[in-house]
Amino acid sequence: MAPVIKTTDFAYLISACKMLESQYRTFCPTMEDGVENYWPLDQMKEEQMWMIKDIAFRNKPPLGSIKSFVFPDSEIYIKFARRGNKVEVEELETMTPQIILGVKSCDLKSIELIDKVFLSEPVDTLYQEKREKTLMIATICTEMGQSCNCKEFGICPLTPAADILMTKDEETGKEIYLKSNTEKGEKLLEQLLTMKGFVVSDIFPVDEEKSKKPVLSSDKIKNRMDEFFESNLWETLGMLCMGCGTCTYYCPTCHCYDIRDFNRMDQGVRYRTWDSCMFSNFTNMAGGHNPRDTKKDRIRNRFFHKLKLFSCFHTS
Amino acid sequence: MFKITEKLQQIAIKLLESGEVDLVLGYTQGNEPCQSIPYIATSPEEAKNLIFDSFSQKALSKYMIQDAFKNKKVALVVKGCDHRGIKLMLGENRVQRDQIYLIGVECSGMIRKEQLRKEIGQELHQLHLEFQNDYIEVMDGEKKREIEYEGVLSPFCLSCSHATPSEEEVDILLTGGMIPSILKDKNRTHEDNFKDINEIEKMTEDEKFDYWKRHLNRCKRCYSCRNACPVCTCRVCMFDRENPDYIDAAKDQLAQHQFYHIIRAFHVVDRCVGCGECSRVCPEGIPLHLLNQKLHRDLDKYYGSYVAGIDELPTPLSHANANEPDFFGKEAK
Repeated sequence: MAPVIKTTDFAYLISACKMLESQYRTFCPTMEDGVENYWPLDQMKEEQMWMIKDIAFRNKPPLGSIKSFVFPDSEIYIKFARRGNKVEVEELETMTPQIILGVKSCDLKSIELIDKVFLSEPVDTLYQEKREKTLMIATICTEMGQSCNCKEFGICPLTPAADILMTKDEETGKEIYLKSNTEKGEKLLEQLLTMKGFVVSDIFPVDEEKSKKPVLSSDKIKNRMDEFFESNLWETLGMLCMGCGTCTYYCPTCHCYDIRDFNRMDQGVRYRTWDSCMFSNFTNMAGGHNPRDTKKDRIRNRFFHKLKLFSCFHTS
Repeated sequence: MFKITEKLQQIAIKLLESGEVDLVLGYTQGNEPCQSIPYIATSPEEAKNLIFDSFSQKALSKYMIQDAFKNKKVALVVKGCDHRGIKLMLGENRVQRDQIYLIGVECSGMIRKEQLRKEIGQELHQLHLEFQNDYIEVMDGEKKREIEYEGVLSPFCLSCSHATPSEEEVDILLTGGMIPSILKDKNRTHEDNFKDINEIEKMTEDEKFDYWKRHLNRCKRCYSCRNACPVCTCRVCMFDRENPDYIDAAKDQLAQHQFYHIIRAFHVVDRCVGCGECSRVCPEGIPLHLLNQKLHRDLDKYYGSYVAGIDELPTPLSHANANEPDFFGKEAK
């Protein structure tokens, strides 16, 4: 059976994460200037730390998606410099392992999907490194939020695919239970047990229902999408869409990027950065042709990619 | 239902039935409470979904320069700020007046939903809001509360002196909205309503830099501020140009975010109609309006008062007079 530990106060978990700073960088959801997002624990003010528990246990994820921890908005491939008539290539620094605390079942489902893109052959090594060095602690949603769709998509909020599952005692709201789900998670729990405030628990107070059958199946959606290709819906959406990149940048499953060089004088970097299929220049070709010239085309493409093409390409 | 909504639906039905316009662009109720979203009605049936209320924030004038609206006769619902946007577009030949049927609406000020939620202290679902002259009555079942307008109205609306388009310049003006008494008080000055910028002006240079660094570091350059702005009307934005490539695409470079936001602020400030969309649409809550406010204040100081969309073109920064202040000359000395 998977080991379960408990603590009497959420604050013990936070201070334990701070103690582990040399091994892990911890990110938790909090509020900064009125915006809820994951924020590094080592840069938080006292009052921001007090907000973590409420936001993490709420049935609504914060603004930013957790994809940015495994697929950052900008990421360097290589650094290069010219010395005399030679080009020198610099090694990249390796990253410190990180803990993301307070993620949701739906977030993890999205990572599962992006895994199919980056971890299938040829493996994206930048992504792989981050994925391996990231430990996710998921909170269990016991109630569906206002705009949640997990049940429709067959995502069980009680059994997130995280390294550690976390829940609190429903009655007192004080005790926090942590259950390991992977080897990585088990190791961290062992470490936590040696720290102040943690004891072994016999129970993990979550009544794991069998995951329900999805109301919407991706196969069904995939097969029906073609009916909508010529729908007027796209025309209307295209007219109302502002053409900014917000929906793609905050979407947990959007994963398109652009590769660019940045150089000044004798040195530079090659990096990748998020790109958005909603931008008009996303499909600009040399010579000026653009196969998706209108917003209607771009919106239609985005939904077809998500609901049909993705599952055609990544079947496993 | 807002009184204007009723009149709006009637006129929209009439326009669509007679075939005078191809479509009516207005607002409808969104999925969430206190959310009005843009809506295109193409038939009298659909016209019954149109509404206008205190949450009809989006600047619809921006749509008029989009290709999909070209070659169509469009009836457009305009508040004061939106109408000023349209007038700038007309002055710059970006739209043709005979293609647009302007339905002017008396604007009752836009309420910031987030702020309202904060003031009430709970989610807005299941609440019933009643808009009175001096306050908003919030009813949660039997419980009643009163919320003052001052705390929840957009600061732009609080200081707006052109909330309603002038009757002569629109094709029809719909009035009879419930205007909060605070908006009728014209004694409120700019300084009264933009307290935030006063606070920032008091900061030291380092504090100011830290403030903007903190905010701009969150920018993802999704360009929603630019795309929502009714006076950002360039055919090709300089930040979309690929040759030359003016801006580096990396999303973790503060310098690039600064470059984008400062250039954009300078490009639009003399034409800013104060709709507040830039700050409202920013997913990261960056207070972009403060950049415009600051520049607006400086423009007033150095170039004299100018109200975009009301005063004659050209706008102060689109031409130069010999007697204007020469900041760069001074610096050189």
